[in-house]
Amino acid sequence: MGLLDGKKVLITGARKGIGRGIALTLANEGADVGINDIVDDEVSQRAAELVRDRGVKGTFHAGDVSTVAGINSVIDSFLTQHDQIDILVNNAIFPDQSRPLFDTDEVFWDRMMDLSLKGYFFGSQRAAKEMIAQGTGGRIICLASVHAYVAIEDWTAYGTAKAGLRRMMKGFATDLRGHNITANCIAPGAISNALPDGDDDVIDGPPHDPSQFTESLPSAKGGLPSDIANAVLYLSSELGQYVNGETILVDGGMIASKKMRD
Amino acid sequence: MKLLEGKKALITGSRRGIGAGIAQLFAEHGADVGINDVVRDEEADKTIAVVESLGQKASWHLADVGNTEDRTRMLDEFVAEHGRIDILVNNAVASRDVRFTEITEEFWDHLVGHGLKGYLFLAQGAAKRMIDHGHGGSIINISSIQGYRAWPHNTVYGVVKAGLIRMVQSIAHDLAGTGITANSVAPGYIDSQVLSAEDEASRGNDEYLGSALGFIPSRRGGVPRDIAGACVFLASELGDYVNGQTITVDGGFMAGGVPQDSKLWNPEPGVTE
Repeated sequence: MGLLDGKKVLITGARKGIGRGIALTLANEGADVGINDIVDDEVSQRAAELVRDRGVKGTFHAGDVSTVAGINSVIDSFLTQHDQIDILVNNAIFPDQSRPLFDTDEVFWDRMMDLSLKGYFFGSQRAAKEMIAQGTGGRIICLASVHAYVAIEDWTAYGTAKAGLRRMMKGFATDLRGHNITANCIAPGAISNALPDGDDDVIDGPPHDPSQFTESLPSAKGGLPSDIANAVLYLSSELGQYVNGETILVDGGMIASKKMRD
Repeated sequence: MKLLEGKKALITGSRRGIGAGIAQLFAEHGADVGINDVVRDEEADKTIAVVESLGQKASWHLADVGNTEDRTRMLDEFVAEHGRIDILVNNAVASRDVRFTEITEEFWDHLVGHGLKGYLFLAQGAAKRMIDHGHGGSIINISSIQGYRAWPHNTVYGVVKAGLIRMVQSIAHDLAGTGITANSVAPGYIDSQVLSAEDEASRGNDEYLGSALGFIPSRRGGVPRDIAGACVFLASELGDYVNGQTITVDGGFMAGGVPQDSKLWNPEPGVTE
């Protein structure tokens, strides 16, 4: 018996990395999983196949979740396959999120805010509408970041978006009162999201070289997609049902100590 | 899915209430549990019986966490009984409301002696034993939402609970590389009164919460099992990379500012002063 038997989960940006790790972890616990990504290729299809290999339903939903039209088409496609939505994990982000302050132009800023704030907002709003109509309650989870807490050089736009998500989930928690829907963030630290070589039927690829963290992080190691996925599992399961409007740091103690930033 | 199979956990102040809830859920997840409190009574017997009925070992430790000798003896007894300590949950403390102008040195010393000093030296003693054993471990402090904001007449309690949030940051930092994590859980309004089976349905009801209910998006009071769930997460594989962190478990209470039914920020549309 899994912790999420029969739950219907949609994860954005789940073709690779942390999103894929969340998909496989929740599938291991009995959830049916819809994988979204803007890229539809062999890797995307393989991610859905790996979900199905775990004995649950695994579907792929291509789409750009930085526009309301794109979000609605992804959620419509998900509902056609799964009939309802119990858990939404907003995880999608483009690569190369770091940008020096004076190289941050309007195009980069808009792209960041459209995907990370606008997309997460309207995806959560639509999912909440469905959850209320279903009368089943549900869970909304956004991937924030340690960059929501502290400034690290060249991460201002990304950090601003991620800080906004923390406040956004407080607002969703508050505004969705009485509907048995919780809204929370998970804030990852340094996570190695490399895909494994060869055997891809695992959640974690090779970890970061631990030597770069032994002196700087309380946990003395980098994190893995499974670490983030396990926090999603906690919030999604009965164990975390009274956690609401909260952000859980999964960072090996990075934000707790000043050491990292020396 | 059992998340704490074979783990050895000492939970202070666990004869009833939140501590007993943690003991029960830990046992459901396969942990052996040490029950501690300052008195052994029917409630303590019941908590021990619940753990044993779940097929797990329960040891009893009569000790005052505010007393240096008691702390050392309890840790030694626990390790003698279970072979090692994997998890410490610092939970024991009782307080009462005292007006700021009426706080006495005796009251301060008592509460800080239990809730900060007692927690710190138990964490230190447990950490030493975890390091000697070489398999890491998990230290969890039960803090409170009162560690974030002021409530009437709760200065000392609030200071103690705020201190715990800061304490785990340093424990995490200073124990880097040992495989030990240190975190807090900050409960909101938790209805921890012991109820009969028939009355269980009324737990966390309007009467208990009173006006607080309007502040809680989850629209119910918390129960010990909610706090226990966070402790299971932190103590298990699931929370392995969570360190130096405090998880608030309050149904969204701290997310909002004013009561949700308040018109303060939501005047009638079109009405201007």
